[in-house]
Formats: sequence, C-alpha cells, structure tokens
Amino acid sequence: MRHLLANLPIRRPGIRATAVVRAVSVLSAVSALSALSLAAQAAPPPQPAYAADSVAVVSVVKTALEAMRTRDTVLLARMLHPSMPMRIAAWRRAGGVALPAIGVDSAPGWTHFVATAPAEMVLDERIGEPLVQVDGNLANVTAYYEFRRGETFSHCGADEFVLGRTDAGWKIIALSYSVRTDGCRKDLAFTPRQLALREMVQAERAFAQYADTANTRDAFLWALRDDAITLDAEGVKPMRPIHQARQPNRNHLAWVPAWADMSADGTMGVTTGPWEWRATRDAPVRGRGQFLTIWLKDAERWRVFLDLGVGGDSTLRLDVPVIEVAPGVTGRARLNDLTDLDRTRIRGDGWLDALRALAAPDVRVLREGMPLGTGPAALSGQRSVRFNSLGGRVAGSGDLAATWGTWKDGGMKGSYVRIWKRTRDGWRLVVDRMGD
Amino acid sequence: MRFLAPLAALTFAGTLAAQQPAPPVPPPQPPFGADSAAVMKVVHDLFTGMRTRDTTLMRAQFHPAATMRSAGWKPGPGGLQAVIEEDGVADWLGGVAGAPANLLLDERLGPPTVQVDGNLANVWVYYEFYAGDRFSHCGVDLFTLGRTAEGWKVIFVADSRRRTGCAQNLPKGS
Repeated sequence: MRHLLANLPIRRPGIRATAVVRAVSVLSAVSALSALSLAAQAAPPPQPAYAADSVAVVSVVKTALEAMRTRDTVLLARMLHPSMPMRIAAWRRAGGVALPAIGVDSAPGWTHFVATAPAEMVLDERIGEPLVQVDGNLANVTAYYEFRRGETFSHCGADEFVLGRTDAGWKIIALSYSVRTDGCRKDLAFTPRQLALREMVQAERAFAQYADTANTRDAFLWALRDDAITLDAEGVKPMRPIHQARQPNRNHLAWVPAWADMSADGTMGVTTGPWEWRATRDAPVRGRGQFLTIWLKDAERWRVFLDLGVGGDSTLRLDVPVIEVAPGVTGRARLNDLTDLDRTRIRGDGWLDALRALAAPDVRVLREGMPLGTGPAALSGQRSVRFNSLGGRVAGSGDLAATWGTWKDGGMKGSYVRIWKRTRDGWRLVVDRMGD
Repeated sequence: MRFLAPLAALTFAGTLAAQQPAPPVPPPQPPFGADSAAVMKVVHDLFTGMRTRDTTLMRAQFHPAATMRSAGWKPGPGGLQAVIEEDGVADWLGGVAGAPANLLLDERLGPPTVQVDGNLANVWVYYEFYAGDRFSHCGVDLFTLGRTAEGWKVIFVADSRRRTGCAQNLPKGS
C-alpha cells in the first residue's frame, strides 16, 4: 500500500477560496480574479477527437476492472484520481424493512478491498456495452455490470465512472454504482478472443515484472520463443542468442502494455507500449521509447515471437491504461496478400501516400526519435526511402498479420515492422514501426 | 458488492455475497418515467435555489456525503494544464450566498440525458452560465443521485467549463 500513501492528495492551500469558483465561475466573469477564471478565458490547447477520448476513457475503466481481477493494486491505483469518492446506492435493513441507502467509500477503500479479499477468490466484474459521454475535460462512462466471486454470481447493477482529464491522462475521479439481485441478466461473458487478449496482456505484465524483480536478460530468456526474432538494418536476427550471450546486470528496463490486439482464433497477438531504461533501478531515466511485440500461444503459454522498439519518445508515461482493440474480420490467411502490399504497393516515390491510404484512422506510428503518433497524418518519411520486404506472419483466422523488412535512404538504413488487421474494407495498417 | 469494504459491510451486510445472508428484497420500483421526473426535479430545484439565493432549498437536494469536482484548466509552467478541482457543497452554497445581491446567478440547462438503475441515477446536461444577462461560460453538469428514504438526493456533482464552442442559445431561466 506504499504507493497509495505516496499518492495521497495534496491539499492545496486556499482550496476553499478557489472552490467557490464553481458557483461562481460566475463571479469570475464579473471580478476576473481567480486563476481558474483566467484559465477559462485563455484558449485551451487543441483537444483530441471524441473518438480518441472515448477509447481512452473506456480503456481506463476496463484496465481498472482488469486490475481488480488480477489483484494488481498498483495498476488499479494508477487508474484512479487519489481523491476519488465512491458511492454505493443499495439497500439497508431497518426493522425488517428494506430502505434505500447510500454507502460511502473511497479510492484507498477500493484498493484495500482488492488487496485483502481472499486470495483464491476472483473478483470478476464484467460490464456491458458502455455509454460514453465526453465534454472538454470531463467524461462519464455508465454500463450495466455483473459481479461474480469466482464462479458464483453475486449481484448486478449500473456502474457510473466519472473521469477527468489530468496532465497524467484520464483518471477516474468518481465512482458510483447501484446494487441489485433482481432483474440481473447473468449473460455477460468474455469471448475466447477477449480471454486470450487478457491472458497475453497478463503475460506482458508478468514479463515486465520479471525484469523488474530479477533482471532484463533472464526475463527475456523466460519470455522468448526458441525461434524469436528481432530486426536491425541488416535484416532478421534470432533473439535468444543475443540474450544468452549477455550476463545478468543491474540495468533496469521498465515497460507497460498500452495497446493490445488479438487474432480471432486467440493464437497471435500484438502489444505496444512505453518503456524506460535506467542504468540501475535508482538511477535517472536515460532512455525512453515505445516497444512492439508479437506474441504467439504455444502449448504451454504466451511467448514472444518478435520484439523490437524505437527510442527517443520523451513524452511517454508508464501509468497508462491498455487499449483493447476491437475484433477485426476473419478470412483466408494468405501471407502473400500482405507481403504483396509491402512489395507492390508501398514502393517508389509514392510509398508514403500508399501507406497512408492503407492505414487505419487510429494507426499507431512508432518512429525512432519521435513521440508516439496516431492517425495516417503521423506517418512520415522521405520520398527517397526504399524498402526490402523480408517476411511476415499471419494468424490462422486471417484477421491479424505482420510484415517486416529493412529500409534504406541514401546512407541511412534501418528496419520496419507493420501490423495489419483485416477490416470490412480489406487489410489495414494498425501499427507502423520504422527505426534503426 | 464488489468493493464492499469492511466498513460498508457493516451497514450493507445484505449486499455482501456468498457467505452472507441474501440481500433484503426491495419493494417494487417506480417506473423509469417517475424516477426520471423526480431526478430532474432535484436538479431544477437546485438551480432555482441558486437563482433565488435559497441555499436552504439547495442544501435539501444533497446527501450529506455529496462531493463536487470540476474538470478545467489552470496555468502551468508549460501553458495550460488540465486539472481536477475538489469542491465541497458548503463552498458552493457559501459562494451563492456571498455573491452580490443584485446579480442573477443564472445557470441555463440544455436537454438532459437521464439514466436510472435501481437506486442510482445520473444526469448529463449541457449548461450555459450567465451572471445577470452577461454570458460567462458553458460546459456540462454531471449529477449523480442516489435514492434515499427521503427521496432522490445528489451524491456527486462534476462539471466541465469552457468558453469555446458555447452555442449561447439557451433561453433565460431554462
């Protein structure tokens, strides 16, 4: 619970003075004295589109519920504003009569409950399709929920998550829920794909935790498949020998998944997210960037098939939720369809236009030395870049694929990896990574 | 219920699962329309109270545990920073009571979205705030209400606040 203590809200002196602003955001108009009113007058920075905010707030909610399921109180606390009030609209018995009553709890109360519930009991809260409302820095996510303790159905109701935008991203600033046992549909279930996606995300978090508590080299040897690969400017490199040749050291590499996709057949998945590197655990951060990992499920567990990243993103943070990408469209799994895109479409002086035309609206763009970008406009590169396709992999369900190779531009060279997803409009680029 | 922390369990023992006794069976519930109207009356009473400076009427709409948050901006070293302000109901009422006597505190509301589930309700509504006849700012008010033995009460309030993209078309007193 140490992290919770560290997160206790710092009460600003004079909070009562500024608190008046609400009624009287009001008077601000008249007196223009309070800092907030001045802020309201200044134009805020350009805001993300509703779709982006909507995805972000739902990912915070789902990450919080997943953290409850996996008992990850550190992750749970990262999704909550420390001052979050929790209100429970339920019933109490008074003299044999059921009376409606409001229960009062808090962010520390929630994390404490998760930390102290019986270890063998899965706290399984599932939500239906959420209703999402966003206005400026405020968002509201309401959803029907069902709560199970392990296999045992407990109750249902409505969850209302209120989120606020902070300089650390969207956080849950209030949580209220109703509790009932009548009229529960008892029909919320995870699809096999959702279960596989969560299993993979858990494998990613376990991988990161291994690196945190032991060392990076041993963590990689635990996570990598025998045939795991990475790429450099010369081409494909087997990954295990690279780590086997290393000695365990005190270098500290930390990362979290921020985006996860999964094939419909639950055999192949992809994660991306931020990483931070320190010479030792207590040293200052010396490197930051984004990773890209392809996971395959073998008979035993999820293992890493391809792993590489880019550096130089100084804007990233590790307290982010994971975005679970919605399912694509299944079809025939022909790798040639993908490598043909690499070889015949994304070529010549017009390669960038071709790439943008194939990109999904929310494509994630990983470029060496640049912050994470999203959307086709974030795809960048010189016209003179030329690519050399070296291979790829497609899931058996034909809805998720990867292609990779090298690139050259005059004296510069490097490698690329593209993640593809089949949509109703055909294959679309969902992650594009170019680096050294 | 899920987080039923030990504290809450004392008061809401019925809702703790498995090893606990079954929850008390609630009485038949009113139809959505009745709850929805009752919930909106609370919201309208609140702003009527603000217009008429009737803080007693305002206070009566709140549950004692109600809190308030505001999602706005504040100047920071690198420009504006998104910030969550923590407010108390007493601060709001104090602000209303202390505003210049001849100034109308006119929070005009657009069409609300009302959701009700059991003893929980929420209202999401676009607002425009006018100090007297002078437009100040707009945003969204979010009210969370809980059913109590004394009727629906506000248990949480949040608002966003902006001066861009305000339609400024809500009629006076709406």
